[in-house]
Amino acid sequence: MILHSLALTNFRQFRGEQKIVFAEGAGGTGPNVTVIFGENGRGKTGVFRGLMFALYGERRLTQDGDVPDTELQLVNTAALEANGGKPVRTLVELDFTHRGNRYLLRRAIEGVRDADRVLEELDEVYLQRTDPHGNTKVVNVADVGRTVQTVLDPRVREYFLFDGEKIERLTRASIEQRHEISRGIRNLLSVDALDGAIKASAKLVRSLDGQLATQSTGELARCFRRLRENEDAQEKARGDLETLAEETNRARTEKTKVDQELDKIGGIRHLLETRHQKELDLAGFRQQSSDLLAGMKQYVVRAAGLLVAPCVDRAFAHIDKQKQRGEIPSEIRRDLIERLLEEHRCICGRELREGTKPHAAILEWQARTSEVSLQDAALNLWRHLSEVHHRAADDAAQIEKCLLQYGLLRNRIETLQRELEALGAQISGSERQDASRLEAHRERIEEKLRNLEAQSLNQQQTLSELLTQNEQLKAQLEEERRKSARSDELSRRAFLIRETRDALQETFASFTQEVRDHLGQLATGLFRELLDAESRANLRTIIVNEDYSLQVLDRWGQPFLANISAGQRQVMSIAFIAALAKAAARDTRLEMPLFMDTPFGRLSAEHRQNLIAKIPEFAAQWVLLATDTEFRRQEAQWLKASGRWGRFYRLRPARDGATKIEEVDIKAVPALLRDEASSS
Amino acid sequence: MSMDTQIRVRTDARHGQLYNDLKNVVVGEFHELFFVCACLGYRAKKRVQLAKPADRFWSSTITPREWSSYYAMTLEAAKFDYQAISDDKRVTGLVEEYANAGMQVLLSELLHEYLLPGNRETPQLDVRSSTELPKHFLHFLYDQAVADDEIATNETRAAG
Repeated sequence: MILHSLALTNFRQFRGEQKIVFAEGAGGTGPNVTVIFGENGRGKTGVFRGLMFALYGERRLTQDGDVPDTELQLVNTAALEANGGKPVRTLVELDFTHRGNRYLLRRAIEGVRDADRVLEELDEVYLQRTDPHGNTKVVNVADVGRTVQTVLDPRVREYFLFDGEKIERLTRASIEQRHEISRGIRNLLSVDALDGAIKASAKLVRSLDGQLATQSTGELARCFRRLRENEDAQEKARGDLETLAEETNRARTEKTKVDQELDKIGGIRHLLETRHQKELDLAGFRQQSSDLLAGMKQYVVRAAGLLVAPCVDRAFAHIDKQKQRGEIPSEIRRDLIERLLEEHRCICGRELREGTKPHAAILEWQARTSEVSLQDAALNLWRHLSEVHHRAADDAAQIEKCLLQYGLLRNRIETLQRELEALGAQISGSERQDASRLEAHRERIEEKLRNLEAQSLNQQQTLSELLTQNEQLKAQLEEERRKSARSDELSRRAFLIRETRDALQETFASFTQEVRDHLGQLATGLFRELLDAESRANLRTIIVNEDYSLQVLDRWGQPFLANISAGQRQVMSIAFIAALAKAAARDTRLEMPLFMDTPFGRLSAEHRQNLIAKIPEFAAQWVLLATDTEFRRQEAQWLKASGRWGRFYRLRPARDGATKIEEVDIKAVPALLRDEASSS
Repeated sequence: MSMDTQIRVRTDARHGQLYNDLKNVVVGEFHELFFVCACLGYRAKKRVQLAKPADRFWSSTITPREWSSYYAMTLEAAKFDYQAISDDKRVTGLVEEYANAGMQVLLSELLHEYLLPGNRETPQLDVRSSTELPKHFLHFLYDQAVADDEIATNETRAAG
């Protein structure tokens, strides 16, 4: 998708018709950056809201939080006042191109003042598509949503159209959000193409197995039945896990509401702030501790190796000594010595008589030599043992560090838990009864969350056991089928379709693994380019987990996500988005705009400079909504140096309290900006 | 000493369930758990014949590092006669006995607290209570290695 223009009529702060024409980056190298500049409250988010409303018809943005729908008015208030009680039409029109087709998307609502409130009603949804040959077609209203979804999957829209302050949430997404995000990403990367085939073959497997089960007898029939029961139990466990995830989500939302209620009570705010910070710290430490625990598997084998280190050392020393004495490889080959003894003749031609000194010397050589192949094997082993021998000290140091780190983390967690208990007691002991009541309710929710977490872990374990059991049952079934010598058509088909399904599943698993590794590599490369020198020294690798959540490893290869700053999280998320865009476009450039609302707030000067230099390179189009405190002369200078800056719009207050969108020539921009040195 | 890839490495059938349970919880693969057990058996200077051998994994999964340790154990047991490591089947046979003894050490000294009650003949891990087992496992192995190291240092000092 490439954005051409966004027209807003009587929408939020924008009275009358106002239009933004975007820099399009013609030919892939032309100017592709549009800056929309305004002080806080001038309507930058209004522009962002206009775009989201046009695309998805949504009035609510994620940053609206708990603001009631009644307060999210889209119709311009000044226009309503001026219209003297008559309805006002609000219009948002987006002009864009996607895969060669040009689209004009329009959504309109009609608003009218009714006493002290404003009633708004959807008035029009219109989408027209013009193909590359110039044929224009109006899309059926019922198909507008689906058509827009094919342009930009709403599940990943926040990767391309986002509020900069919130982007770091991508690294903190909940399990439920990650589930949705991962589906969206898989769709974007076309990974899901195989999924349909797997589902179809699985359905066929069940149907054929059912037919075979009814036609079989004895142990074979029992195997079919057990396999079917196992697969049903797996389905149930998966369903239960989803239910638990939904319940957890509800409990978390409830807890957030209680926290918001508590926030309104004076006198305990400082306690709540302290608790909030400590809870965040606790979650971070718990994550680190669980990552460290998972990482211990790799050390178990190394620790076992230390138990046989003395044996390895002795074997190494033994062979090494023989090597130094010249016994391996021996100076004289065993086959030559054997020939001399057999022929009773020395190399010089003299006769070799038993009992003589030369004969005894040759016998001594014979005793010290061994078979050539054994000598080679010993030398080979010497090389391997040398490696093992030299790695032992390093292994011991790493294991000790890992155990120490884990111990420290557990201590911190226990201390924080005690501190949180004390804080909870202080809050519930408050003189305000409402605080005490809310705190008691909060504790009940926390207890529920702990139970849900335990149940969820239990279900995951059950599922894992069922999967192991499934493998065993399948092996048994094959064995029974072989024994019963069933070779009819139905049996052959069932076998074949099962093999096909398994092969598809394997392909799917290895392909998604490859995609994740590739994403991780791309994101790591970009992350390191965007980071400042100090962060670059410590943060090394981005790992994309199975659910597409992110982890960052430090210079020692340890998980470090919980320790990085909000600014670093923001940079990490942007690097991932860039990697995603690159991967989705098969390493060329994804035809998708990056629409960022105030992205520089938490970034250091070096991070800002790096982003300004790099984003126009990887994004097809960059629309930057910035405040006067984050886009200053310095940033303008960096952007100008990139050679990709195309347009600049200023959001200016108008006399009636509305906002005027005004295009300014780039050359005149520095005069409008602040001059202070940028800071984080 | 060709690091033969075609050998079926065996463990006692009674430990089959335990191998399945411990794989994924404390290690990633069977050959890794087998290595851990073999090292424990070697350290305890114990070899126990497999009462009921059952194929567990292919030797192709054994890493060069693990093979090197197995060759070192075999060489020492054969008083450094290289002929002993010329036959990989013989090497894995010997190591199977060390691993069998090692599993018994594990069961009696660490795992007994993590087993499901009931069947002692074919022990089964209580996976739900084993969240911290990787840490206890690592501690268990590392503590023994440190103790061995201390003994060796003291002996060297005494000899010096």
